[in-house]
Amino acid sequence: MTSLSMRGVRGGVGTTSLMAALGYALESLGERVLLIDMSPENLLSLHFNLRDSGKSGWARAMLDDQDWYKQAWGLTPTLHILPYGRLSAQESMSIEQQLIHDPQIWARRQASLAANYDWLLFDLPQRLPGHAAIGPCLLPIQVAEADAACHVLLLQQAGSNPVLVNRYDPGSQLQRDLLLIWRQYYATRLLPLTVHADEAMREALAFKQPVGQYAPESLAAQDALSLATWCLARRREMA
Amino acid sequence: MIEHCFPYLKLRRRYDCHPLTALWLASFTAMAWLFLRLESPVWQRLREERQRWYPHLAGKAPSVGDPLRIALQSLWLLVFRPWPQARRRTAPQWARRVGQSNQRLWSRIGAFLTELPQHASESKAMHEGAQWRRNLDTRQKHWLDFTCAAVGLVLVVVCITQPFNYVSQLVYVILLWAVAMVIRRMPGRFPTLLLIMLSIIVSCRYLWWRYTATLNWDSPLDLACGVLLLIAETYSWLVLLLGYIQTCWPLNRPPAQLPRDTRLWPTVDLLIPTYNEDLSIVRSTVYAALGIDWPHDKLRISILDDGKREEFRLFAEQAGVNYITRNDNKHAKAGNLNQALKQLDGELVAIFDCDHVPVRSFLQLTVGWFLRDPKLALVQTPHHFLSPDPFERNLDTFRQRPNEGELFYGLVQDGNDMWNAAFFCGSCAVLRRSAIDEIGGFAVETVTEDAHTALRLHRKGWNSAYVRIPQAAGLATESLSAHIGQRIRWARGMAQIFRTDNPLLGKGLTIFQRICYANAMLHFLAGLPRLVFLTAPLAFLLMHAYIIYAPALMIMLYVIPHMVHASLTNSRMQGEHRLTFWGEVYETVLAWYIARPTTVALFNPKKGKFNVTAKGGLMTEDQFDWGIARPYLVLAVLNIAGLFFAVWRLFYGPANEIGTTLVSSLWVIYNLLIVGAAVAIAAEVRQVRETHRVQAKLPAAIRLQNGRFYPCLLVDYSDGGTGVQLDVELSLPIGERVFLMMQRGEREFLFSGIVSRSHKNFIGIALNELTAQQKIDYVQCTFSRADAWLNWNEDFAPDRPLHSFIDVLRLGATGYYRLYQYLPAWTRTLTRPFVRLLAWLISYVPRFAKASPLSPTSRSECAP
Amino acid sequence: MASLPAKIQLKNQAPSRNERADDIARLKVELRLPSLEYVDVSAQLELSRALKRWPLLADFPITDDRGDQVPLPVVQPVRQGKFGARK
Repeated sequence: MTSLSMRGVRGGVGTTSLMAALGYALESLGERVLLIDMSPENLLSLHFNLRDSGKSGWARAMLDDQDWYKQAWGLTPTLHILPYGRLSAQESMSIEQQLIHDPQIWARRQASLAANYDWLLFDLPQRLPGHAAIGPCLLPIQVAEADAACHVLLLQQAGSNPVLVNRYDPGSQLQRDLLLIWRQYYATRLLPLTVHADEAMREALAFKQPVGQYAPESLAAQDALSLATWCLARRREMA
Repeated sequence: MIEHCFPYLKLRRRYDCHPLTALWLASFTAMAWLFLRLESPVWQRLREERQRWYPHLAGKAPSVGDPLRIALQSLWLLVFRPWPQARRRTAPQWARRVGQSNQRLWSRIGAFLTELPQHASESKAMHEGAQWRRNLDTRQKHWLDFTCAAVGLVLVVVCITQPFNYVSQLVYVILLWAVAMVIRRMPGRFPTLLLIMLSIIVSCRYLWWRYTATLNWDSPLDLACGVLLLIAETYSWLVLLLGYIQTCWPLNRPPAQLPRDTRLWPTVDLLIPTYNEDLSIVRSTVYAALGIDWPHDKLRISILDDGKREEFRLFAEQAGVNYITRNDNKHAKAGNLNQALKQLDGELVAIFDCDHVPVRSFLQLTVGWFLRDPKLALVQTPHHFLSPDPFERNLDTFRQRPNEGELFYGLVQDGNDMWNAAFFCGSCAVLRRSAIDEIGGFAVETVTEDAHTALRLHRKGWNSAYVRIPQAAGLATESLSAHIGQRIRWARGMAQIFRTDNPLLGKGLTIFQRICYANAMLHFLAGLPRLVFLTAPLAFLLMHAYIIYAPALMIMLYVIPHMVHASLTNSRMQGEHRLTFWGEVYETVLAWYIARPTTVALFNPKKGKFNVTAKGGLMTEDQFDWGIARPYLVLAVLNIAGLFFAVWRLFYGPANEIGTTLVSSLWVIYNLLIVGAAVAIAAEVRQVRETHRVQAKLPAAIRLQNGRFYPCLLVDYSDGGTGVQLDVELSLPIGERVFLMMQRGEREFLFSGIVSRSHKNFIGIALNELTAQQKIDYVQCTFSRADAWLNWNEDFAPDRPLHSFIDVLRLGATGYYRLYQYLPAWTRTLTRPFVRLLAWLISYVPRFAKASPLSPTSRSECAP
Repeated sequence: MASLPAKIQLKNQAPSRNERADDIARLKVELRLPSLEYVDVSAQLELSRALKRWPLLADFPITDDRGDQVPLPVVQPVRQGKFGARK
């Protein structure tokens, strides 16, 4: 069982859509996948035509003292999703406090899920450090767009996590330049592939489908597949 | 029912047959129903698939001779019919077992032979023997080598000179042929050397026999013709032997690594000489040169314009490259280069013809050798052609077979490199400036100034290198006449060098360098010998002169092994670079044209002027080049006359001459077919477009106006646009704007274009509105990619000598047919009855049944 | 395990789309020289142009672990058209 997380370098870089696409791609390559929405925005399940007014969700269950595991939905026999649940701002803060108080909650939950899944995909919120404490994670990917803000933020954060560029437009001089600079100076961190700016990705959410299902012939779907292939190769290398 | 068995009315009404014909056919059908039980299931199955089993009757109107055609085809099918798998009667047990063990034996022998070289190099006995030899001192080694050489020489001389009677000769050649067929199965260089040895022995034996036993000293006519033929045969024997020496061990030099610190890299002057070519051709070359991966402060690009054109100067200024011109045009290209060098001071000089587009890795793969060897003066790379040469275009074999230049750039120069004799070809090369200065600049005395310059460099003790990686591509000659004009120039130039600066004489060259240069020059003297070969059998048929004074059977026993061994060995050595027997066709095409200039140049080297090869012309319609084809037609007519005489001699000549007549006729037929192939090439095919499209398979993507992005496969590109193939049908309207995304190295580029054609999955994109920087980027994503020309050969089928031979013969027959199509109308009306008769006769010939259709498989082209 | 759709195959050995489009990588594969050290000068040139093009980048120079500024690439763009010192 491998766990992977995606978190934006700044907000609004398209992490959730990317996560949905990656989950679909991994499942199509034959893996058993569980998508876990760690973000109070609770948008991941919308990508899969799942709308139950937020009553189900692991955070909701934690507040209502119910079994967090029973909140998962089975989209296909090998693709499951665990939504966050609809919480108010205060409720999210109280979950945040619980997670900060006991950082091993999700580590334990990962251990209990290990037998049933090949991949656990965590969609992390951009803020809320407590929600980011998900336990051991093989591929803690940071998602960025090739713009000046992300450039500065990457410098300031000075981490060592892998970085994936999303919404890449090769027609933009600034994006090309920044990607070239990052390839040179973040050579060990930057993923060898980028996910291109394809309208299909945005349309897919409006269609309530992951992009691999909505537009399998689009470049975005192919990029997601390349990303999934890369993940499998990394898992093999690190095994 | 009556309609079915007696289809008179059906034939009359549906096929509009003559009443008598319909009656005739209907009665036949009725009799068939009566006697052959056509309603049985076997016949039913046959009738359902009759398109397949009787293909020549499929689309044809019924006619009188049909019953005979059906009968002949049925007989043929009974003899040659492929039995379907399920109904094959299983052979008896013992036969099958024998067959299987036979197969196993042969596959084991084949595997043994294939692994033999590896076993030999790893075996202990071999290592011990090599160790023993190494432990000898120098004198003992010399004695050992001397004894082995002497024994070998004695054996070879015996093999060559011992005269045999019929039986002994037959046994001898069969044994040698068997040995050659066994050695052929072994991979590696050493078996190639063995095959060369066998071929040399057989060919020397043949020539010895010719000199000692086949000249008729009694009759002056016989003697004259015989000696002429013998000289021609000696020439081709010499070229064969020298060719073996030249190419027996191709060096396959890899690129040398440059130091990591780019400050240690030398400065390079890149020169693009031009005279009267169009700016559009030079543009791509300059854009590609601007993209070569070399530090910009160490690379200087200059256009050397002998045409002194203003538009070139403006373009050079816009692009940011130098523009150099001179007052006169003395000595053409060499003079241009020499004059320009006076103003430049780079350590290395790279030269590109104006249509040769360099790849971005050109300098990094070639300059390393200059740093490794301080005495290296030249690194040459292949001239790769992205457009078909006249042979490929007129025969429609582009990218299916190696082309004419492939032998030289793929093998001969590589072999030359082994002996440090690789020479300069005028373009796509890098030279050391100090070496050029030492010999006083580029040579201007002959019209092939490139080979002459290399010869002078070698004489001064400089080395040369050849890197066999295609790193630049240009346009091939446009028409057959332009191609021949270019070869005439080379031939004249080589003959001039042979006369004025003979590589066999003079100091400074090693023996092998002399052999390689001499062979290169001898190659161009092939005009006269080829003409002699094409007319030799006519000496006997027309003039009754015994050019080979020996019994016909003996001639066969000597000539056939000579030809077989030569083609086996050449196929082994050259098979990737030239299919067997095509060399004969190329030589025949050029023979008449280079015969005169070379002879004139040999006697008087000063005569003859430099004529520039025309590049970039357009053939607007299919035409037959009568002017070029005239010599071939004369030869064909002569040989046909010879054939008539042969038939006459068969009937009216003395009985003991029948053998000789038959052998001569076979030779004449072979000559006719080779000349026919040359005629086929003279039938020029028109070119549709001005810019040349290059086929490729590059991953790309297109983005539509609505922001949707689709991955695709770039299947062709040219100066003005590309063609891409998608996984889905998009049905884009013509004129819609799309963006094409291409990748080079790790960077991606987006180009704005317009849909120019759209058909199912295929979209053509015109890229006419790019900015200057985008044009540079585009050239660098397409023509100038480091891997652009690397796997050009991946679709080539391997060489099979017998198939290739039959191909050439078939081409000869097609050539005459094409000639017939281009003849003026009145000749066609004359010959039409004969052609009709021939076609009618051929319609009776039974055919092989067509294969059953297989289900097509499809897969995605654009998979990640 | 879900069954694989026919269109999508996991090819372990075949080059990915990215690898096929990278001409330098393919050059090394075709020449069988995986250790060839190739300097992508045009990328280096574009990199130095990029660093000069956007003023924000100068304010935030990239530093390595010790806090020293990582040096710019050696390759600098030079305007063509110079003839050199020799007559």
